[in-house]
Amino acid sequence: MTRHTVALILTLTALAVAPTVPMVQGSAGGTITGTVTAAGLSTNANAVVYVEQAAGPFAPPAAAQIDQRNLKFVPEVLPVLVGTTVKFLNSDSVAHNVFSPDYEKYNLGTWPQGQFKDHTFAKCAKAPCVYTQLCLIHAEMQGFVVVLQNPHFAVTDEAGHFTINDVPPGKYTVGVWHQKLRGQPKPVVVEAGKPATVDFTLGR
Amino acid sequence: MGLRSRPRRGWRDCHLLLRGRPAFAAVGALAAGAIVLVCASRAPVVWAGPSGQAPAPQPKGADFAVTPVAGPSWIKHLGLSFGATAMGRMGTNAPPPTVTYQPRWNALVGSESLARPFVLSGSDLYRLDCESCHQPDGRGSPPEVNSLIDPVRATSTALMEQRLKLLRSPVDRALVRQMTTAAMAAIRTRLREGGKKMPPFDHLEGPEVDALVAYLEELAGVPGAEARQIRITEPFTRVGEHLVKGTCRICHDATGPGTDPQALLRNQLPSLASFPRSKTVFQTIQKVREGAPVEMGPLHLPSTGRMPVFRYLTDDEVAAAYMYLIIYPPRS
Repeated sequence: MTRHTVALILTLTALAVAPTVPMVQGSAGGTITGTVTAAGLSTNANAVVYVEQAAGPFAPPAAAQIDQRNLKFVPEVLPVLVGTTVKFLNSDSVAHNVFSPDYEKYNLGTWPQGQFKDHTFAKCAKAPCVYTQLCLIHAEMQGFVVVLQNPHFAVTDEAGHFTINDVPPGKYTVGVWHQKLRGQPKPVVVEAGKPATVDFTLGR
Repeated sequence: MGLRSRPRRGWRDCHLLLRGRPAFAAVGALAAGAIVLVCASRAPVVWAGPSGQAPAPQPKGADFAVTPVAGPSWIKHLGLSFGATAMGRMGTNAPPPTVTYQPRWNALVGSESLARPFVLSGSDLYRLDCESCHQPDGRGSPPEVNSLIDPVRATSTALMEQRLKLLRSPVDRALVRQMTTAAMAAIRTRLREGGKKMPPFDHLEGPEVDALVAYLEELAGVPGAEARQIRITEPFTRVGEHLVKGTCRICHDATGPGTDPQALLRNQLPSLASFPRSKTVFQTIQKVREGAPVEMGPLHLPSTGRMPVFRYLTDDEVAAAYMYLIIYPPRS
């Protein structure tokens, strides 16, 4: 084996390993994961699990969006960091309206397919601030924007699983919000690079 | 629910029946008595408001600005083919008018029928201007023709507050009022200007829009709408204008060639201007209300035709449309 070959192999090895190294070292945070059981409901989806209070400040949030498709809000439940601007789209052939009767109350008006309107959820005195999203025209439509103090949140899937990534190490209280059910907050200790597990069972 | 058509002349029809068939008169008092009984059973039910009171005073009817129908059919305007759209096609599916149907081929001969003004309720305007696309129940034919029920329900503060209470959401009356007012403005704008697929109904005037909107509310189940129904008196030319502009013109051009057996196969329908030239009023009434064979194709074979049968229209309304086309000749 020549010196050149050895150098080449070393270089390739270094290149292959290099991208993984900073990820492990750069992820100072841990993960909060677990399962939410919505007792008595057919699905465990759409529960919001969130860290109640975390030390900020937090970077200006990216825009989030809710579509109106087949006479439904998609996603039905959208957690956002306070200050987030939510873009409301209309993908249906019928006109839709978006309004919320909660907190400062807003009515974005009515608009046709392909257009959108924005609303910024600028403040939330006591998280979670839950804004019911309604369409004036279609009484059956209902969605929720859940405004939170920090970006450490997740929505459960059908099975009730959730994962909150990149939580700085520390002691937290983790809360859960569901449109129909209630659950008690739970304490959790997050360590760097480790998953902390917390499960919830929701009831009425 | 208001009466769906103008009051019909049960007694006078019987008088005409007698006049048309002298033999009946000769039979004597017994036969006449029998006819009177039959006729009495067909006498009109005069609508007298939802709880028996007299109808509200009606706006004056003679002031409507009747104009000729003009331009290509609405489906041609949209670039749609007659065979590939649900627009204007609801006739066959609709139930007959709630008045008893009596074939009256003397609708014009008796001429009084058109000389006397029509009394229209919002439901009549709906039949003449909206039903051929939106169906009798207002639910249309989605996705091509949207339901009008939800947008109309959105105009009701009562329904809105009820809904918020059910959701246990706070009821802010100012917000509710702001939204329902905007929804009502949207309905009226929609009627006037139309939409991407809906034609503008800019021939409708203030009292007509009010009567129509009141009926839309009743149709959509808005609480208290029954008590707000309005009736309007209109000349027959105006009634004809509603039917022609609101229904016939969806598929028929204002001007152009008449019935051509070959052109029919290519979905080229006869123009509105050609009706009075090529058909009598009786033939027109029959074609519209019961259907009649047409010649189609190169061999001029009789075909049942593809025109929907508009059972929900009355003879007088079709006669009024026919006369309107003569008095106000269509323009290109």
